[in-house]
Amino acid sequence: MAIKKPYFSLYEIALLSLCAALIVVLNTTFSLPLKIPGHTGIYWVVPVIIGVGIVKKPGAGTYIGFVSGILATLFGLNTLHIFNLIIYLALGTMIDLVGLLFFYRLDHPAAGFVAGAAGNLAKMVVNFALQTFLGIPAVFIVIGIGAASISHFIFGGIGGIIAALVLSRLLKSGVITRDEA
Amino acid sequence: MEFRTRVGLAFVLLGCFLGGMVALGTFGEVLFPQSTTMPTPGILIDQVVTKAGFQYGPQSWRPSYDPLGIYPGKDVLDNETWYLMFIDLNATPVSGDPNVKRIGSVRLTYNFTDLSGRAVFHVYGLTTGTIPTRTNRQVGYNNCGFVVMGNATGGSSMPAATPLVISGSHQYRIAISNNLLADSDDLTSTTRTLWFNSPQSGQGSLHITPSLSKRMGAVTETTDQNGSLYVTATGGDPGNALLLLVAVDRPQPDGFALRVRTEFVRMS
Repeated sequence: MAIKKPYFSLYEIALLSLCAALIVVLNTTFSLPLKIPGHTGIYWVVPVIIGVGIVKKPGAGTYIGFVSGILATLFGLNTLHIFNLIIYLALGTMIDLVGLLFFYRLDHPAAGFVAGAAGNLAKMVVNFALQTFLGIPAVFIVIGIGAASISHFIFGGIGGIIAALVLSRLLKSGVITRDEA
Repeated sequence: MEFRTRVGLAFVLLGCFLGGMVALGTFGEVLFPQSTTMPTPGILIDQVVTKAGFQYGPQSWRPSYDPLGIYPGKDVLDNETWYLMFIDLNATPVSGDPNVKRIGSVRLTYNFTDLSGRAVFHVYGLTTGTIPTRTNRQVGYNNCGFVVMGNATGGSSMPAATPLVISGSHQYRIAISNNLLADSDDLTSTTRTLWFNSPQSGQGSLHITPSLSKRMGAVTETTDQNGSLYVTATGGDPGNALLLLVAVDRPQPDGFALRVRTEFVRMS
């Protein structure tokens, strides 16, 4: 009887899970005193893009988002508790989509920038949608949403460039290859 | 489709999204008008303070992490001399989840008698725990404040006033000029403590506005000696106490008086 090959190999599952754990570790250990909305995106998107850029399979980012969302909920990283899962899933799914759009060439700085910015913006939108769903008046949410969007875009984009540079160095040094799956 | 084309398309899409968000932020208060508001029955304070209430000055700044200017939108102007008094408003604006909080704003009604020159209102929100004191933004995006101009003849001196000293610890223990004594730290104290932990700290969530249709506040200049304004909170609310800073730019005549009334305006 033929054994059905799993969608993600054991190596990929291990790698994606480590990336997910790294998000939680970064969120816990890093505390930048910037007080600007979305500034955590500068390091939050990095493990997701690296994971998606290495595995190069649809669903890799979603998997990272799912695992990191569960970990963030268990560790109580912010006030939304179980709804953290949706925020992390949104970020991972968006980076998945951007990866597909760019044929997983996330080692290119422009592609990395778009992936990071889009992921960070998706996180922001879902966060605000959840806040509205939980009863915060919409007027409080939309006040300042323009500035918040721009800062999420910039910080997510910078994080994406960092991830692209890391991926590029890994490719150049031969640790990973372009057709690795 | 080529890789470069896809990158360009992605940037165009992100640009459109950002444009939409900026438009939403700009017109948000019109698109999502505030739901009904109603004053909670009862005046929270109704007090009259006189010239003797100005306990600080002459000075050109007001407390923050770094000294802030006093006239809305201006940095510290060394050639200006202001006299300051602090009034505990016995109410705080409340923001957050309406399912767990009674959210709303503080309406302040003022009546000046014999005001000479300019009087400026600012607010300070005292917080609980380790959160620094809030205040309305002095300069830059979304700065706000309230200025009333009077035409009474000025006085010769302000005998009760002495200049506040700039604090190296960024903490100020200030005396209040109305007769609310209770303080969460010291139930017999007539003083309150303002403390700040970084430049610009606490300047984004407390606002002064002439109308609740502008919840993020505005700079208002008026010659109306009798009027009202709102203190709103977006983001974290002060929680502990709300102080009104009244600053005047010259010694006031002996007949000077300021009547202050506050009430909580609930947002449902």
